[in-house]
Amino acid sequence: MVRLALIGTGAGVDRVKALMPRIVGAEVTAVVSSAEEMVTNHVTQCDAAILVGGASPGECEMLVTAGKHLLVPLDSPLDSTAVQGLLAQCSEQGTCLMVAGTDRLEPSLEATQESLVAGELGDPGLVRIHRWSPKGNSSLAAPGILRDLDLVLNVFQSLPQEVYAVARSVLGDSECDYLQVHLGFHGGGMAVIDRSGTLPPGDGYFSFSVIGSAGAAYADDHRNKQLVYRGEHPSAIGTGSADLGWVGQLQEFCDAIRQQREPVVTGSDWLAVMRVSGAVMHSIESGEVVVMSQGGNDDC
Amino acid sequence: MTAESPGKFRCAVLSVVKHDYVARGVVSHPRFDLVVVADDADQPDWVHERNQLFADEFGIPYIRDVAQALQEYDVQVAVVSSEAERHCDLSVRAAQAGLHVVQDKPMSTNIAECDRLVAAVEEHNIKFLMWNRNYLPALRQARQAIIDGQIGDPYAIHVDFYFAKDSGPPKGSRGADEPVTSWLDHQVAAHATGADGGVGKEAMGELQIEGIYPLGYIQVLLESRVERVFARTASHFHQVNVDHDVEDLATVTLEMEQDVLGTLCIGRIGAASHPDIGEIKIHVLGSKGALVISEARPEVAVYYRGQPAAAFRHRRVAMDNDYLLMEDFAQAIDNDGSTVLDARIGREISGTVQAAIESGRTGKPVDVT
Repeated sequence: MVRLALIGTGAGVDRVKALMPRIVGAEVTAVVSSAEEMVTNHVTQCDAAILVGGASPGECEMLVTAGKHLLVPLDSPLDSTAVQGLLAQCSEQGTCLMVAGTDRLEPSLEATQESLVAGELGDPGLVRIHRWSPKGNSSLAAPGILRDLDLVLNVFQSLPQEVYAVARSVLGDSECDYLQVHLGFHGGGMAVIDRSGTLPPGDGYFSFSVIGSAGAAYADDHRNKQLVYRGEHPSAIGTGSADLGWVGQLQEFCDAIRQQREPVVTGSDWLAVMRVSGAVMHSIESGEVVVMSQGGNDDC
Repeated sequence: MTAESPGKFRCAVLSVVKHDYVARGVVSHPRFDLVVVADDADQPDWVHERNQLFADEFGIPYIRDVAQALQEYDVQVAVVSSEAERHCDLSVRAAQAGLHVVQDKPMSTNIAECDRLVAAVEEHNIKFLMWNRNYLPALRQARQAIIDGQIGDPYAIHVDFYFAKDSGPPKGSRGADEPVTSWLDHQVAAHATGADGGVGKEAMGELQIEGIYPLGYIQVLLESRVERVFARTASHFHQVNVDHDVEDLATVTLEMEQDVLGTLCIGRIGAASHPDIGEIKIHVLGSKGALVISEARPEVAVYYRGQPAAAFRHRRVAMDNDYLLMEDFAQAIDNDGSTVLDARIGREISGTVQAAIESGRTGKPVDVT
């Protein structure tokens, strides 16, 4: 049984806590508001920490030093140097570091990836993502694009060779509320992402397609809409996956700890998407293609 | 001609060696009659055979002399559906004879030829229509929604144009000792399955073969010219594309006038990759909302015991694109107006395609000229 500490406050913690009864082989033994509180008061009661609302480098370091496995949100305010340090520290301590807040375990995307891994789609040639949010609901800067980049890199299992991106301030009241990213991979693979933060209040839209050499998968909100008739034109409402993506992440974290294996989303994955995100920002600023090396330096 | 009894247009079909959908589409409108098929005498036998077959079906003569046919059959319209590299030349000759022209895609494989055609159309003041799909029901609906201001000012558009067709054996299927099939031979053989969209001597990728359709959508919906592109291209599916170094998959970032952005994803993705003709979608973002459009709709689902594997399960209905295109063409002639996709727009689209191909080869953004 993995003993978990939930660290954070507010609705996020309540949401995770409510999901925990569904998780096999785990129990919540502490709910605290900070890493310091956990290490000070509950260090012997917990094997692992779930940093629900994000984490600072100092908090992560404190928890790993205490020998705790970590589930850390992708959009935590850590730069690549901090993540590299965290990775090294986890390696030394033999603790598991998993990145939360990716979409890999969302049911539709998990099914797509399973099909790809099973060879049903052949070699991936193209990933296409549309992700649109209502105005003000999510950042289109680095954290916002990380989820999409993670999905793309997970398909191609490599860094892109070329990155070209363009951005706009459409509504005029934010630095960037629209972003297009175009990636080219070794062997001819390609990916196109568009991220918008200009929708009116309400639901967002998400579409993810993989075109492979032998088949294709289309995970698209458009296909999962139901109709509501209330006069004039009907409304389309999405049939979503509830919190099953989060359930999947929590279960995977606990399973990885119990089985003493790497989780499905690792710190190295985190570093990779951060690096590509940096190239995206470079491309937007320069208006040119960023050529990424598989090692270190990326050329604008 | 009067509004009460609009006159008919007599049409010459100048080569009908590719799909014959253009010529058939023309006669879906009651004002257009096919009266003769013509082509140059020096064309190879397979060209003459196809022309003759079509002429016989319609009970009209086949003349192996274009100039003679145009002179003797009192025609007002030319319908051009030859190999791609002959498109512009046949259209220019028709324009020089004072005929209005309906032409199959692509406009040409050569930008200089496109320019020559634009000049001929304007010099002889004739009407020109590049065949397109801009009057499909879903496109008309999307256009009306934009015109009505339902999504505010459009600022981005994305078109997925995945054609679920094969193009011969898959990539990797040719042995090292096996000879490369010529592009033309491959296309001629593919005629039986309707997968000969790239018929011609010069090899063409999907951007050239099908690019006019999605780029036509972008043009008709936003009326915004593409200024700069960045593209990735690959031969990902079909051996014939690998052998001739032309793409069957491409992605293009489009930077357009008035800060409008967009992307195009296009591919001949193979019959196994979609239960119908393909995944063809249009996404438009505006300042007040957005549209997600499936180009195939309306459609009806039909399933039955013994259904052939290749049969589409979802059949498009209310397909009046052909009629509406020809009505658009007739109106342009009657009222000295523009067609929905005229020579100048066709040239712009060809320029975008050319720039995308160059970008795919160089790995750099390319300005559209």
